[in-house]
Amino acid sequence: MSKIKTITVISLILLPLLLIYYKVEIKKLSMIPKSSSNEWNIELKYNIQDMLGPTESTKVLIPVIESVYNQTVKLKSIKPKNSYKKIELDHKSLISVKKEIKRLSINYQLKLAESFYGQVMKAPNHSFNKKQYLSLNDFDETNLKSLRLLNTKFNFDRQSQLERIRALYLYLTEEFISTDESSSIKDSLELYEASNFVKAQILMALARINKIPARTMLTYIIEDKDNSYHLKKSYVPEVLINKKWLPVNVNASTFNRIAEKQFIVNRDVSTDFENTTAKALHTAITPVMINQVDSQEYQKKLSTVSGFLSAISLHRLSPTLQNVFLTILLIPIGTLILAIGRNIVGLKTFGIFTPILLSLFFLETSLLIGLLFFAFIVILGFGQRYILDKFYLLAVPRLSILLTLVIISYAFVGILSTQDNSFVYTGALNYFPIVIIAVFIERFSIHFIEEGPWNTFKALIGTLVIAASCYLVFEIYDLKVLLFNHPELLLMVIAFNIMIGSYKGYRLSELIRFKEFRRL
Amino acid sequence: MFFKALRKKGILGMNRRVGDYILTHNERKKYQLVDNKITTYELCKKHNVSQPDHYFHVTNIGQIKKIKKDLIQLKSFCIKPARGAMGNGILVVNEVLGTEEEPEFDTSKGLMNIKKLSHFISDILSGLYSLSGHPDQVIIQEKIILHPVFDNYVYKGIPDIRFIVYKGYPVMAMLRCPTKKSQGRANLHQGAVGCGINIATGHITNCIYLNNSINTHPDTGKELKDLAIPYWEELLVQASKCYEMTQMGYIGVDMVLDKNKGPQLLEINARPGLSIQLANSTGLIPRLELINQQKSNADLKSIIAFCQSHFNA
Ligand SMILES: Nc1ncnc2c1ncn2[C@@H]1O[C@H](COP(=O)(O)OP(=O)(O)O)[C@@H](O)[C@H]1O
Ligand SMILES: [Mg+2]
Repeated sequence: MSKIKTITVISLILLPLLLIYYKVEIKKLSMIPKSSSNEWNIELKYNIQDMLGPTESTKVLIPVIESVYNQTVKLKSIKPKNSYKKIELDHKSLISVKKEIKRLSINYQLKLAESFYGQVMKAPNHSFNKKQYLSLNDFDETNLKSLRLLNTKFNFDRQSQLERIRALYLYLTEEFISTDESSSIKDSLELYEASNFVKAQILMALARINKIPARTMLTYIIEDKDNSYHLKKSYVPEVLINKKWLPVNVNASTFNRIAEKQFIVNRDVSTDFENTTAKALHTAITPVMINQVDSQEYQKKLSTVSGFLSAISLHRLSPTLQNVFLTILLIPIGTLILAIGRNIVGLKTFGIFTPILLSLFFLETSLLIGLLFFAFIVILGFGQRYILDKFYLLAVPRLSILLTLVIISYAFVGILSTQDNSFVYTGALNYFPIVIIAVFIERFSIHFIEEGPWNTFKALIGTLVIAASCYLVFEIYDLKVLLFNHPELLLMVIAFNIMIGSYKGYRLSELIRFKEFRRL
Repeated sequence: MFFKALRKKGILGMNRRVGDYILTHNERKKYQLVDNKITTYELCKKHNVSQPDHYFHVTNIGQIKKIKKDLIQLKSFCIKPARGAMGNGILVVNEVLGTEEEPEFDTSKGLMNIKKLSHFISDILSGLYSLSGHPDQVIIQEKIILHPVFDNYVYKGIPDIRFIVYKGYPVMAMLRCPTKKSQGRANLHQGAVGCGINIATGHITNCIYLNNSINTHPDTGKELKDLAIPYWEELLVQASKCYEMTQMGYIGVDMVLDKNKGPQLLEINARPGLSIQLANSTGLIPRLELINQQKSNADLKSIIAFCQSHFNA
């Protein structure tokens, strides 16, 4: 290597190391900061136009998440600004939005207490119409008949209200299987299986039959799936006993307690929320941005240490952007893997960056769905040659047909995802995967025409191997956070690329290619 | 280590080829001289290097309709993309059959009517076979007639002779004979036979077919080592001239022998492959390093003499 090159490489490696040493060893900042508390940034997006208006259909009411039980909530922002009106009702706050507004996104910061045991619940500090929580008007006759029949079987007589609720809770949690399919209360009672919502409804109705005021809360449970977080809807009945509201968590099987990673969105879905927004709510709330790195804390610490470091820190970004950058910063690592795969191992790929794009596609959708869709596209790519060849089409329209077919099947995946027990995660369905697939198809087809099926197959394997390796590395959460905190590490990636770029030795694949010479 | 045997044999690997030879000896801006066969053709005319004639070029789709008559009159010709590679998009028309209204073309891809042929041409224009995928031009070229010396050494199609020319020195050569498997194409990875050639004499030394050593042509059974290529010195001279013509230090020069016109340049490649080492059963590095020690202003005659005396195996 030339002198300048060597100096460049050494300084590109040393500079980030020194900076990190300064931050971690001298200023005692953590190398990979991790959240210590159960704190989350949550973004709820509502598709206002898809929501049914309450009565007159020009406005939509959306509840505001409030601090209650073990959750402390801070409303961070509502976008677009000035598109809404806040309403304080006697027992909760709502946001009223005109239906011309297409989308509304609300950002919260949420802190969940680790444990809720033994905590005294607040008495309702508002006056309310008790009758509303005893009404059985929402239940039709057949359902009510089965519910009443069930209630007689408990032989409630001298039991206190709390004892009754406890018995009902045990019955529902122990005898009933949870299903994703929603059927009527009567059927659920007969089959001993109920959906999340119906289970909550059964308990609420039985409480009301026993003259205990009850309502149903809409909550979300934060689920950790392959290092990314999703929200799962769950309903929790709440009963009023001795002037205190008591959560009866039939779905999470915790009595008198909200689960650790569960938060309440709306304390009374039966009246104004679930009815009016059921459909839009299901599709409109997109998964959530979680700031596990605990940015604010870190940023605060950083600013006390060095104004400069804090000024150039990525922790200044908004949570949504932070999430984007957590992934984007990985791309250079992918290029490194790519360079090793191509220049040292000697793998063939379609185009240069296609494998990295593909690994992002896998990240976006999950490896299994990614691979399935990928296999489908490859079959389509091979198949089009035999079918479309007969039509004598020019290259560009031919590729366009291919892309159209992919879009159609993508729409199909979208429809599949609406199925209740679908394994497709709707958050993955956006423009991004299609962009990647479009690039992939183009490269793939050109390769096929230029180099024939055997070479295409080799490149396919190479592309897959590199994409899968990138995917596996991208899945390392600590690596993401490390790069996010110390983006200067990317200078090292440049140094490594210079080194790989200067490698003039043999590729591993050449051992096979020139095996004749090894035998001689 | 792993690579010891390869290093000992002086095998040139992909990375070193790019790093030490292509990047350092081939200027980026000169690539267009060889990547576009039309540009190469014009350059050859200037430098008196003989090439199969270009009858005409097709540059846009609208032209296709008008060339029908011309094609019928040509009787035999070869259609190829100006920026193609690896034998893709090449169609040799041997004979025109049928009527003036509904001509049928006897081609290397079977009988074609005018519709099929037009579609083929428009595919080339749209960039289907070009290196970059960008729109391309079509060359209607004189058909090369197989030199009788190659009878029974090819299944069908035309064999070509690949030279690695380093700073004007033809350091290694190989004959590529089309086979049934390669569908008449002279590309090794498509299943053509690659034969190493003794630079001194033009004799075949060693042959490979689908990565294995062979002695006889897989389709015709003809003994390959019996073959000595005629016009050998002229071929060396023409190949060497390509350096002066392109000013690129490390190139692959593809020549063919025409029955009537003798040695013809077919194309020049700025990133020649490495399989030539397998065909010759020899590594390139020792030969390239020997050239590095030579004075750079040697004349054509002494260059050829040097190569013939040093690469005599
Ligand atoms: N004019 C021609 N007449 C007959 N065969 C030809 C002609 N031109 C090319 N070929 C055949 O096609 C092969 C590839 O041609 P070439 O011009 O080298 O294109 P490529 O750049 O795709 O390799 C040649 O090796 C030869 O067998
Ligand atoms: Mg060629």
